[in-house]
Amino acid sequence: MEITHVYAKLRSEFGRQCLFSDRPEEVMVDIHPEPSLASQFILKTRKDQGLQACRDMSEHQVNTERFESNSCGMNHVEGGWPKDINPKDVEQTIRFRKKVEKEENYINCLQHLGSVMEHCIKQNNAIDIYQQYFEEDEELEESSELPSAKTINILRDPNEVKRTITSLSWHPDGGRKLAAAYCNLGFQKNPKDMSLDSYIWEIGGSYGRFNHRGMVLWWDVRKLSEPTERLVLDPGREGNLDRALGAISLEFEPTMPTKFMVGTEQGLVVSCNRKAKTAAEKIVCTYDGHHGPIYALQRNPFFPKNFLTVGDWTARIWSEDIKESSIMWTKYQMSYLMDACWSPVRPSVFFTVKMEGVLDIWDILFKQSDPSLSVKVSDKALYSLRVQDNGQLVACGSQNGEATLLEICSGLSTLQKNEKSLAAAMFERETKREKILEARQREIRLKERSRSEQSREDEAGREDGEDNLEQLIARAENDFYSLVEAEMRRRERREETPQENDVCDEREVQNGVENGKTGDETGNTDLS
Amino acid sequence: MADVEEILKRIQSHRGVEGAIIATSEGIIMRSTLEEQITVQYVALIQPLLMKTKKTLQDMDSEDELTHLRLRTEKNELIIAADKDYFMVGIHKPSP
Repeated sequence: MEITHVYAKLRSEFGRQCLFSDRPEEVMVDIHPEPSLASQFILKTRKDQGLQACRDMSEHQVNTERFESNSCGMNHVEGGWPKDINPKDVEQTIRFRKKVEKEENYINCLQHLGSVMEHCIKQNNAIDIYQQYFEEDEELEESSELPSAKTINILRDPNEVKRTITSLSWHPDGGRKLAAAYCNLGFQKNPKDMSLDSYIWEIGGSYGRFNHRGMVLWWDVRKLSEPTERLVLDPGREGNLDRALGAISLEFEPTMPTKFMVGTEQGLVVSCNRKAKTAAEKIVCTYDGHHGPIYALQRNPFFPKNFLTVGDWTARIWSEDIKESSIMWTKYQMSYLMDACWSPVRPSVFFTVKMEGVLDIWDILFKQSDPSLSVKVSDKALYSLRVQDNGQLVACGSQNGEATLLEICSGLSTLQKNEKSLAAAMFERETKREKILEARQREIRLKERSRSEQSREDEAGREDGEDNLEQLIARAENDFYSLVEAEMRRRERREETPQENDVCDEREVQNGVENGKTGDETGNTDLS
Repeated sequence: MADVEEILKRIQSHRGVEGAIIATSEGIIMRSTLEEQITVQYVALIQPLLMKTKKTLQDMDSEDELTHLRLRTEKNELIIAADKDYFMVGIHKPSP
């Protein structure tokens, strides 16, 4: 059925304005359903379908190649045999082995492997390459504080005319009492009004006293009128007073009451036995080492076999057994060393005082070439030095009568771990070294002697000897001058001090160098 | 043959050496200074270890190759020197 709507308009009315108006609706067409048509259609089953605005995807499944494994125990049987050989057949295996062994490749290979193996084994035998260094018990406790010394007190000579403090002594109770002996060390300089008092703050009695006249006198404190015994310090042991050496310092160790040692003006240390009957036997042996008077002599409180001497420009440590030379020594200092003593608490520490007013504290376990601490105590020369028994207080006596008390830092006055054993080991080592050197010297001397005996008839040999001497002298002179020049040049470059100082230093240097030369000629070597 | 003997003897002459074994890389025992059962055990266990080690090093750096392997234990040290075709095992007890 057609649904049409006719719309008619006069041509003359085209383009005219449209005038709309409302009117009620009217039904144009009404089509009713026709049931007969329903049989031509089938009803579809209902289903739910989700709708989403997204991309289309597809799903796949993949499986890798299957690997089958199973766990089982292992039966160690020789394997690896090529397929054609039956491992159970002994003959075949032997034949195979022989064949392999004949191959060149095998032998070369093996040699290479063998050398690798040997290298490893030798390595293992030489050192333990798996060794743990620095195991846990080694905590390095480094005293982070630098060594230091503090001046506590200065005790001055109450007199107007200043005199030098020649020796000091602490009260043995460990108290704070100090005895100082004064005397004017200037030659013939006693002004009339100089007081002759020794300012002894407390009285400390000394057991043995000495004088410059070459004898050692024993005084009993109870009987001060006359010496109880005399001993003449003659190196020839003959009791000849003319040849006696002047004594400067004395060392007496209360634990060894029969032995004592004397330091002389000539640089010799004489070791004596008190109990010996005759004067000749009293002098046991001598130690020669210093070029000038020995101002201080003291045994190490922990190792009585080693003693310290101080004289000229060095401090030396000796072992009783070695008579030819000291086992350890400091290098030549810039000024005279006037006194020294060991620290009563630390076996490896000792103190020295110098002519230029400097107190040096040496720790031989820490540094051997220089003092651990140098303190300028006064402008005047320091003549004496004593450490108090607790090791912390040090008294130095100077030329103008001032006694300065210094407190040493705890690092230098407390016994460190293992210090005793280390110091003992060091002394042992140095002693052994000297012994070996001594033995070698003896050997060389023996050889020379035997050689010179053989060529005694040879005139030319003797002339050669003389020539050698002259050559030696010339060579020594040349060396000496070159050394002095080098030193002078060095000083000019380093310092800009006034002329006087240079002159004094030069003289000192010359002296030092000269002594150094003589030192060389006697066969000593300086380890600085 | 004599050279091989010599090599083994030299190795054994060092202080602390307890034994030496020579084998092919497949595990065939060529020579040994220890008795057979122990040797077999050593070779059977060390050979795969050695193979694995070689393969590992090869994977990491193809130009590098294994020269020797040192196994330090509490009691002794196993030194395994390896080559392409053969390897040598030394049992060493180093004295400290």
